[in-house]
Amino acid sequence: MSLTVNEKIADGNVYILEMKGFIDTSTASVLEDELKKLFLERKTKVVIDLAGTEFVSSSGWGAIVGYLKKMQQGNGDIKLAAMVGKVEKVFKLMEFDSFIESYAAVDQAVQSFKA
Amino acid sequence: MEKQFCIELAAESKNLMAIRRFFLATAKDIIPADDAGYLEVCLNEVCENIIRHGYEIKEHGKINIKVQFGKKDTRITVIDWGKPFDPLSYETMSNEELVKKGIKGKLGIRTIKKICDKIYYERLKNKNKLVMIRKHRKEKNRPV
Repeated sequence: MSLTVNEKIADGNVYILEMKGFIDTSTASVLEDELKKLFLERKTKVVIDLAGTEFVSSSGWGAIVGYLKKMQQGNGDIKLAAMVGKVEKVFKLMEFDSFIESYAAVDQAVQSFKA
Repeated sequence: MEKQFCIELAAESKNLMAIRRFFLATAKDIIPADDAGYLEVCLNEVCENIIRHGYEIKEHGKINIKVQFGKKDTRITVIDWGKPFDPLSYETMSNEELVKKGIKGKLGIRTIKKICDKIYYERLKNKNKLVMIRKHRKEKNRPV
């Protein structure tokens, strides 16, 4: 298993990227390509579902950070959902929670775009 | 009593998962899962740097990893035979700067510095040696 992405659409033109596997330098381009594709299609409201992601390295965080401002400038955002414990611990340790919203469940992340 | 484990693999990104699994298997039942998870990230970051920057693209060198679980700390020594590369000399950026500039790199070194208590780099003849040390936390779930 490396990294697979399943794209879904939810209410309110929110796009969900369901990631399964791990995100390191060998797979980060999969996520980056998906974010690039959505951005170019002006689909800027994005939820990344990390429930099936067992590991995220700086390459993965970098891909998200690299597109965060672009999505926000396009009236959208990138929000994270359902991080597994060990991924969430690093997310918080690096204080990414100060500028990237995260939610326990995908539905909550989707709903937050309506707020 | 100290426990020590070693592995040597080709410096290729396809081996990163094997490196992470090696570390987690050695750490299991010796250090708390939280600490193992943090150090897994550090080891991965160092190896990613070696693969991406230490060796030339077509040059398949090796990475040698030694993990030592001591009474007071865990020590990970990583050796490679690539070009001189001191990750500690690289400037790190704040989260604000990273987001503002949309920079996708430079996070790995910051992660290592945040997790490890001590980091040493040495250039020895034709190889790089990086040592990362993280002291054992007293409480199993103590926040970092």
